Amino acid sequence: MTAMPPAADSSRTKAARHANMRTAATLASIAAVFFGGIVAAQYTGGTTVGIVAVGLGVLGFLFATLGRGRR
Amino acid sequence: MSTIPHDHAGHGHEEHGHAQHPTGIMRWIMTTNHKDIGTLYLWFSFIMFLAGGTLALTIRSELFEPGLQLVDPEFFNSLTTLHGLIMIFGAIMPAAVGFANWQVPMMIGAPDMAFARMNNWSFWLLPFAAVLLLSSFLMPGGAAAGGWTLYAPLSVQAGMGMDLTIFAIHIMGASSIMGSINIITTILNMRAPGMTLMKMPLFCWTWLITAYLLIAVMPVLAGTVTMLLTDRHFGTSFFNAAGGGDPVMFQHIFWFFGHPEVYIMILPAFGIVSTIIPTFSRKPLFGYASMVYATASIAILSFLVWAHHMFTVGMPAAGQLFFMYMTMLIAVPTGVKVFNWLATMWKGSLTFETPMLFAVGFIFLFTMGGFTGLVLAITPVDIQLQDTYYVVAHFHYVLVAGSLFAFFGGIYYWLPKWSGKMYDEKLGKIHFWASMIFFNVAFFPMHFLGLAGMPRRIPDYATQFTDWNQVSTVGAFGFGLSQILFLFIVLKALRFGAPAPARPWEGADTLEWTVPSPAPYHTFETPPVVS
Repeated sequence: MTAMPPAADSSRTKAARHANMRTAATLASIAAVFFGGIVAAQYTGGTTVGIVAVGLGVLGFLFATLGRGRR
Repeated sequence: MSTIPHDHAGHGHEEHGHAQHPTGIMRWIMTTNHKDIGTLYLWFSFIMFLAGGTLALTIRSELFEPGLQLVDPEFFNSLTTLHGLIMIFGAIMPAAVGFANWQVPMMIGAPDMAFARMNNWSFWLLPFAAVLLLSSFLMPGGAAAGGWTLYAPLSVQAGMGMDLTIFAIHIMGASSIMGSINIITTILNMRAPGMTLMKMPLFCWTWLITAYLLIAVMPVLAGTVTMLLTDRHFGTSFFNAAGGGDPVMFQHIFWFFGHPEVYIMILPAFGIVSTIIPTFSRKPLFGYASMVYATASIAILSFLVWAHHMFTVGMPAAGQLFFMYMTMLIAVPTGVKVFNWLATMWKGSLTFETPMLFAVGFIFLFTMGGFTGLVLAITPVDIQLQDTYYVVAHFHYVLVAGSLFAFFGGIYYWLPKWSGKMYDEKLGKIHFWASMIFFNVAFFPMHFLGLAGMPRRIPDYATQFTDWNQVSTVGAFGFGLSQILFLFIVLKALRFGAPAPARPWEGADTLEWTVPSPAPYHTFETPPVVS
């Protein structure tokens, strides 16, 4: 027989799982923006603008993610 | 840092955990345990290290004498290309991830990685990528032969082996991105209570920053090789000049990935060295905060120096100056690190067990590699030395004597914790000195060859280069044999090693040393409290 975890533990686990998923989604979106961005920038020919926009976006993501995780 | 470990082997976790995990081959295929996956990564990387090393020794055998002896020029080019790809993506990067898998959760007091199943998947993608990469030798036209940089237009025109290489890079990139997401999420969300970011062991900091670098640059590489693939098979002309594309743009984008990649390989090594040196100096790391900021500075600057790899393609003087000064600027945070390692050792109660020998060897040789990097940063000098053996010497001092030496040190340092067995200290020291001596015999002469003008990636050379090439080949074989000794030392320790205590190193004070040796299958299920 497996003992059920107390309700408080279960909600803590659920909250931790949600937090992990949020962080992972943010990070995956950075990767997706970079992958799509580099191809799109080349495809449209707007290399400089494309790279600057993508770069700023990613830096913003990085600071936001790190800031949220800091304690 | 004082800790209140709630767990230790704690509360029957060890017995409970060992009883529950599958056994035999299924344990390794199905495992979601960070320690098992770390072990898989480390063994995989060692196998790939031997495969890449075999290619290197074939290259050195061919170069023992001028003229063509063993291989034809096309195959020689495939050897240099695959040697680079295998060592970077198959050996160094997976080894670093292996260390992260074993150590990050234990150092921050987490029970496992944040996404355990994804962790399993990240690893098991790698053997398939390795098979693709190696089997490209069997394809019509042979393996990719344009160098590990896969420059267009060579890579646009190459045979089917290039397609396998591109696919392998996609798979390895996906593996790296998943691994990075896992590591960042674990570090940001799963640290033990009381362990603030600025209390984390420096190894975790270096991996956090490395993982961000990976997230940012691996998709760029994936995008680049995807465009290469569409140029090859779907009629686009991103890099094909005949269709209006720009081959030089390939180099820009590749090196936007490629230079941060160098730091992806070296930052985890910095973290390992920053863990070993305080332990065997019996002093806290000097300038912890400055080490963190220096690591972050190196990472940021690594995005601003890519064109120093391509000064010879032609660029405005302003561009050359910008990339030259930015490259030189990286020496500042790197110098901070070297200074802090030396300051940690200063007036410490030093002992020189094998991990410390490798750490000190790392500092000495990596600093030499750094200095030759500064020489190459100077645009007019780089234009002279571009694609000579001076460059080959430089990056092997950084990546072999840098990353690899640190990884050897890390394995000797943590092997007692991982396996519960002590290695043979005498043999460990012989391994260090053999590696140190033969490494320098192999690679130091390459500086002379490069300065004298010997080009890289060419199987034949003028007769005046013969002597140093022969010395270099002897050194390479000695270095290769030294690594067989390393395998023997590890196997001997695993089979016959004396039992290791929970904390075999007097000066070690991070969380992993609070659990027994070998580390229980499950650790820190109840988080420790760090005060």
